[in-house]
Amino acid sequence: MTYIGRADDGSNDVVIDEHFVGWSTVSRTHALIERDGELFVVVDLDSENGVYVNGQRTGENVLYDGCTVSFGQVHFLFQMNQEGDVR
Amino acid sequence: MIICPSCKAQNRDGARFCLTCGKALAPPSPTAPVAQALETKPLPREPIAVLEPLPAGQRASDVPTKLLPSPEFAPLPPGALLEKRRYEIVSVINKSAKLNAYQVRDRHYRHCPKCGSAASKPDQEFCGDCGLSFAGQPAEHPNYLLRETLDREILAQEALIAELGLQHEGMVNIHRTFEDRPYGPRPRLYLVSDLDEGTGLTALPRPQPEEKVLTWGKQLAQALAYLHSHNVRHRNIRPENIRLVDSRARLTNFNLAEKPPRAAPKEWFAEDVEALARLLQALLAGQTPSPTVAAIFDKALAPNKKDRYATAEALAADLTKALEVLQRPANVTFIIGRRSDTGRQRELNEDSLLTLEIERVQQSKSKPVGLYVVADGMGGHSAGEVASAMAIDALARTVLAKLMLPTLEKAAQAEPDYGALLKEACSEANRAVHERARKARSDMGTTLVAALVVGSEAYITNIGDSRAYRVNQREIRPITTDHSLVERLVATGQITREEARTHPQRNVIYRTVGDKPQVEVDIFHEGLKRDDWLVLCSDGLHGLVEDAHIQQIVTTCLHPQEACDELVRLANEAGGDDNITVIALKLKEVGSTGG
Repeated sequence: MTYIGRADDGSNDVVIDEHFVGWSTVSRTHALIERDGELFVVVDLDSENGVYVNGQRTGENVLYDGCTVSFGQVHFLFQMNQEGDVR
Repeated sequence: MIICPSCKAQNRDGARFCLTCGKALAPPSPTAPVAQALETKPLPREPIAVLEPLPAGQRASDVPTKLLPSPEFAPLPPGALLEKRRYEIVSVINKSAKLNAYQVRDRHYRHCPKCGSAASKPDQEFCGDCGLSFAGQPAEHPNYLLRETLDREILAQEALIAELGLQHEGMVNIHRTFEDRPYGPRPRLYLVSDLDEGTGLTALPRPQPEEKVLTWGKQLAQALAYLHSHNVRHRNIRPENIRLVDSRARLTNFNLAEKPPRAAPKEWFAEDVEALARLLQALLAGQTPSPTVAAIFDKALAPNKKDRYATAEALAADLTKALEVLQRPANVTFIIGRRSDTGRQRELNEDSLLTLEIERVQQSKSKPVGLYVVADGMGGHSAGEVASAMAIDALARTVLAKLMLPTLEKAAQAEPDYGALLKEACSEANRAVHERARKARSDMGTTLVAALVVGSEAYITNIGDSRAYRVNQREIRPITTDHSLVERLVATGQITREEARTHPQRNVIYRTVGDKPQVEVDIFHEGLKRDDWLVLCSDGLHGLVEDAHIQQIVTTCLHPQEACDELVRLANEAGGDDNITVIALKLKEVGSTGG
């Protein structure tokens, strides 16, 4: 499980800090991404400004390769890599 | 190599975040892509995922520039999971201010590619409905239509159908409802139903062929009868609410359906029945309907309400009858195979068979008349073959004299009562055999199965344990009931059909030709359809070759003669402990030009 949020107190695995444009729209603990079988699933943790997949707000959502996932107004490209290389 | 300032783990050159603790390794520039491993310790060959921040000015094209504030009720994106991750949205079918529709897959079940069943669990190895092996096949989940709303009222009628559990093959079925809260404070109501696939009736050119319209009408009337029997009326029978998938018609759109608190009187359902009749009539508009079909609409839409169909069930019954008449071939010929064999254990063949046919083709119209008989004689001192031969001779004489000769002499004016004629012929046969047995002080007798076939109408009788089957690609069905002890025991549930095959008293029969001065004769009437077969046989065949096997042989052989030869061969292979006699008749429709 990977927690994503603004809080830099060790509770998040991915901290969205002031280096990210729009970081103020991210809640302290905003969302998590976890494995469910073969799938990666993003879960909104009742954040103020929501989780979006390809621009549509969602609650729990499968992340497919190449989709855009946004936490508030901070956008990420989600990529899967079969070779197991971390880019 | 970069050492993480927080946890001291080693990271590759250029890494922006620590692989182990996820902390930033160096302040990232907002425009440069940075990576974050979601799985810090990946197992070999398992997928690894990364999140790559998108710079502010460089979003994927489908991301709107302004995401906030989000509307309270917007459609969810593909991949969204609902009902504890059971349903995954595949696509958005429709969206509106109050109601969204999605195609979803049900991750709790798997779809069988062979039989279409959606009842198997993903970890099952075989389809529970058809037995197909799923080994090595990735689970394909069944797809459904999922409707979503914040306002319960909008889906109240459909929810009622789901709550009552009403499902019918003539309906686009509604399966269940549930509540979920994908995000935000307000829960949404969801309704799962079959995908609303198929053509609408509105798109069809008119007029449509009668056979199709009657088939759809029958299915829809049966669906209505089902709803009405559960005290529910549809109230919205219109072309746009009918879906055609293959040759099936299904009723959809239940948003006006209603169920009164108490059982409603018949009249309360009349509007559905009339609306269906009107809809079917409109599909046929522009052509002259056949008299049977015209009679149905005259009744369904009679000026006086009292004269109309009282129930959807009554309409369904009449549509079914009309369809059967329509599907009966008008211009037919019989293709016959026959074979009688002593078998491997007996020295004598006591079975007899008869085929007697007249087929005249006049003005390219053919309505043949045929008499087909199998008789299995019994009694010591060579009496069996005498009895079976006498029986078929007596039958032949009666049918020739009372039916075939008058037909040729054009003496027969009205359509004769074929059933009564066959009965008379059997009584005649019984009288002859009984007389001979009495005089010779013999225990001779015979079984008998006879079919008098006139065009596509078959009149069938049996005495004893010789059988008639109706066979087609879908089924094999015994038309007759054996007058045997084991058949009684099976009928009363004392032994199984399987046990009957090996029962020590399986040869005991309680009704034979010649045993008593009078014999009871049951007549069965079958309206044959094109590509139906009739199979008449003695117990030397059906006692040794299973019904399903008979069906397989008959329907795969090119000619009935080939089928008879093969069936006799199989019975001999299985022991051939009795005489084996079989007649196979195939009804073939002939075109008015082909003859």
